Amino acid sequence: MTALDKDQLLERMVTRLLADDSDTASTRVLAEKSEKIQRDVRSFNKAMAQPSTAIKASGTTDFKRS
Amino acid sequence: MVKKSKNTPSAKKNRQEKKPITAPANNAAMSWMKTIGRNWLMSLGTFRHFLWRHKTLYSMMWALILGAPPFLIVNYFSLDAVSASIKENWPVVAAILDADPIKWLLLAVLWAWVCNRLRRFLSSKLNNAPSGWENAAPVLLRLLGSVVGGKEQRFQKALISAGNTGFADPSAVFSEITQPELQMREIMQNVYLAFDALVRQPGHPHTKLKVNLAVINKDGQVLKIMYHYPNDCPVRSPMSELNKPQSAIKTAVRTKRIQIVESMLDAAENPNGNFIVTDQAREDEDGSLICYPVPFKPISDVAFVISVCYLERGTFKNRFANSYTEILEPFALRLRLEYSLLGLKEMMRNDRTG
Repeated sequence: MTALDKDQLLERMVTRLLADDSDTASTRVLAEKSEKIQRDVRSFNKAMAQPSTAIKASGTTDFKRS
Repeated sequence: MVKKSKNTPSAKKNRQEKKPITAPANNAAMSWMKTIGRNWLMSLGTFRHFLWRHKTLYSMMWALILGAPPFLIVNYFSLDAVSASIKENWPVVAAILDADPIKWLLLAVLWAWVCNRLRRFLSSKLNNAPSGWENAAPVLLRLLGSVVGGKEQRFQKALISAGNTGFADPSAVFSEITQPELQMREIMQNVYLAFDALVRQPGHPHTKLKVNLAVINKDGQVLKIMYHYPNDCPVRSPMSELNKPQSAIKTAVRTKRIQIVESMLDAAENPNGNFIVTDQAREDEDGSLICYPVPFKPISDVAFVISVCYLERGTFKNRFANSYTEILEPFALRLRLEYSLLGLKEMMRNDRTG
């Protein structure tokens, strides 16, 4: 393997990273994602507030049948 | 819910912060008063934590605080038996009440309002996490999951493809499953979404929050601002301005510590502060800013600085630095991981070409 010194490697890493100018998320895209996260967090909090439902949903009560 | 370990670094830090502050011997009266006040507030904070753990006791005490004084005052002035009993058992209280009955009756009427205002004021001063931070754990859990989600899909795709065609070239598989630039973009997008969920108030536009990543070279100079969100609000600050020693990014690089600017307008007026206006077109714009340095020990000191800006003064506060660090550090860790992968890929490319 050809050795690269620290400075060379860092330089190449930075160059590679800076070359990434692909399109990033616009306000509309972020707003949609944000809505989804708010919904997920609300349902997570709701599920955590009802431990019995969470246990049932995860199927851990199945042992009763066996 | 997972109980926080008592020995985590943040728990230790919090314990250290709760130590009473002792006044130096040569302090002036004002400094002494401040010390007493802060010690008192800290004791009150400890008491509040105790009450939070005993909610029934807290409700009962609050009902007593709200109800007892008006009950006592009104009955003192309306019932002879109560008045006689107080005069006999607490003559000082009776003397105070008799001094100005109208004033005390008015206070009895306004007591609940005064108490509620005081409670709100004290809670804002004693809070050790910003408001809205009660959702920090689920938000973080959800977003860190989505960072892994993209990676998981790539791994699955590579596995299916290897299943169909066989596992021919390990380095090709490595190149396919590791996409550091893509992951870093995803991580920064999730930093935006984390602060959007925790900080942005309902009704505020998404454009009030801006997040970006500054790439720093080995000499500590800002090379480029990347992954800025939302991308329809471009970065307008020139590199020359961002590289001035007093800019928040450069201060974060130099000190290797989180920088919090509570008000950009106030900070810009301070010639020795950690903020300068980098875009003259927005010199009247006020807001709050966090600059979080991401060190990358293997080859450089600070490789990146994550900037989070919210266009409303006072949104980020210095005393909540630990809370912001708790959110940003998991993302910083993932950025470091992806940057290491980028380095490994570069070494692999070098090996192939060299």
